[in-house]
Amino acid sequence: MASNSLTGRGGRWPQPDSLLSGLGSGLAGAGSGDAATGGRWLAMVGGTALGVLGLQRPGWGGAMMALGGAGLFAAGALGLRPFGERSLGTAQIPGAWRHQGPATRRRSLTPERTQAVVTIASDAGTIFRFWRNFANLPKLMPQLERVDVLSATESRWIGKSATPSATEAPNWRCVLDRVDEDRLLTWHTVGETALPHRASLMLSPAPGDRGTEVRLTLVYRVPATEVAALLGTSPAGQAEEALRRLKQRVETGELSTIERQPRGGTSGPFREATE
Amino acid sequence: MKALCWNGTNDLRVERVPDPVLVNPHDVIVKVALSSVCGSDLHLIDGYVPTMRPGDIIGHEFLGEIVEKGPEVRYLNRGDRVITVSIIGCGHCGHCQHGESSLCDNSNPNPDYARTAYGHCGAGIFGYSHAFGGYAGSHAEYIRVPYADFNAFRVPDGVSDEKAVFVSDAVPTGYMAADMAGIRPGDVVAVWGCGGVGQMAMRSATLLGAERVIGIDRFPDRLRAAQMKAGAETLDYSRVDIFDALQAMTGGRGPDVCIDAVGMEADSGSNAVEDLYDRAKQAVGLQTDRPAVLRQMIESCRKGGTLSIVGVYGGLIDKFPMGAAMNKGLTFRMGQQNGQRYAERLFEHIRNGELDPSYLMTHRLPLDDGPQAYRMFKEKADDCLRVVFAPQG
Repeated sequence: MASNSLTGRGGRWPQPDSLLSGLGSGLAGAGSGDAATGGRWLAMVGGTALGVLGLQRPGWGGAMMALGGAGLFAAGALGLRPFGERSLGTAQIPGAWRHQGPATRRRSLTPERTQAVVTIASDAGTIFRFWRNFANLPKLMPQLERVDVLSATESRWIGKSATPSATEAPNWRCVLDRVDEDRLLTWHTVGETALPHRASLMLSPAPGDRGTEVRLTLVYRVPATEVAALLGTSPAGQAEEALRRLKQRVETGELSTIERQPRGGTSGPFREATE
Repeated sequence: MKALCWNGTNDLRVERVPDPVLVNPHDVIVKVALSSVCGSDLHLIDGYVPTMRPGDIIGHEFLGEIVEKGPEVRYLNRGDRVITVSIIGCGHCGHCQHGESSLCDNSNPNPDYARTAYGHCGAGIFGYSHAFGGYAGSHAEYIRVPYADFNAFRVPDGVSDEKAVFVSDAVPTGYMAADMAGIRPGDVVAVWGCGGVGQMAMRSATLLGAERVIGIDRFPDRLRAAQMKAGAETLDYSRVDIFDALQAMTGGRGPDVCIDAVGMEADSGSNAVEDLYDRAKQAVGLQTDRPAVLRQMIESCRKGGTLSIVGVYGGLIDKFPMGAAMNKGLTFRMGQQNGQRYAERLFEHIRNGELDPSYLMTHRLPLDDGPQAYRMFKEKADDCLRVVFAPQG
């Protein structure tokens, strides 16, 4: 399978869409006070300092510093967030990340981003329709017991307990953010959950007759170790396995397996077993 | 049922195991009539393939009768006499659709091993370690075959079991070695290794238009078979310097095509220092494979020639003469066999009398003799070219 995943925030794969990174800033912004506002203040204060220093220096160098400072101040004042995240209204994320109780305390300061990608020998429509029905997702994510589709945009996801001692299986509610037929699907958790996250599935034509490139991005607001403890797999493992299974389901209609196949090694030599 | 199981390095046992069952809708269960040993099994038995687990059933080249089929199997029926290509394709991914089923994206249920070691994962293989999927092998009374419509082929009437069984692996492997080398009329083809695959590569090279074929080995019975059955000239690498001999036989040009049908446990035969060096590095884990044949091929091949590699390599090699390969403008072709692409064509060659692989079966034995049979095969004792088990007796 031509699948790669990248955990953390860097990576060679392109971001699937501005909306997802926008969600990132939105989520951070909704957190209260937040990095977004801090970034704007930092830009404005830094710009002022740079401008003052520049004006004190003679020659072209000083002029350039002053200009840079002015630009930085303006960027901060206009909310352009020169230090990274782009702005996108949080209004598209009703209730997201607010009032999340204990999970809020564990929330990772920097989202744990994982992206996996695979090429599937099929048209985008077939793939999109399979994923769009979230009730299908337990077939792709063995960490899930089931997904109940509550409405056109809302769903409830019931996970499996990663450990037998766990008192309650992880679960969460999701809402769809964006449905761009055969191209893009984004969703995020709402309400209180131990696994706050957002995600996207992006489809694009592969070159030639190679089918469709599918990118799955998961952005957890808790550390990967915590995801692994609750779901039994890391975000990277979850994303890779989901795409591997999606590819097999779509291309072959089944999952390759060696379950229930015979093997020896436990019954001893045949001679002993038959005597 | 009875099955021949790997339980550790040089530890094979015939054991009683559960019968296989249908798991997926495209599966069939085959009652195994014949199941051949293969030189690549020796890499497992010798402990050079690290992802074997005690209890794994080995064997990947087989013929039998379909006794059960899943609900989605369309083209095969109970009672069909079939061979199954040893390397499993799903039939639907991009590679399978383009005749590269050994690179199948979907048939390996344990892709993590190969992805870690190789960057990407290839196809699953029957009885060939968990890096290749961990599928139960064919040295058993029954075997489950996944994606059966794509991997199993009915044996045409008039083709005996003894000829057909090798269309599972040895014949397509040898044929692919010759095919991907792009042999042109007038070409001289040298084949390192005169075991089953090498024999088939030599015969296939002739079928595909080679002017002369040269087989290289050190066992007299194998060299004799190469001459008598595959129509090759032969060289004993323990007696002659291979480079000098090949240049002398080709007017100083070198062979146009060099085929490796040996793989990771190669010896140079004539250079004791090189062999000692390779064995020492392999023993302490500084390389996993011994590349003596690759070095000879690179040195001997004509400028601008082609190396075709079907001998199995698993990991890393040392002292690979890349400078010679680059500056001689050599082309490398390699890979596990894509038998699904060739099976029908090979049956036609057999039906037309152009190809008869049955002479590879020098010994036919019951499965109970599995451990001793592999010992004989490994030691090349009793002029053993291939042992074929008959699990039904």
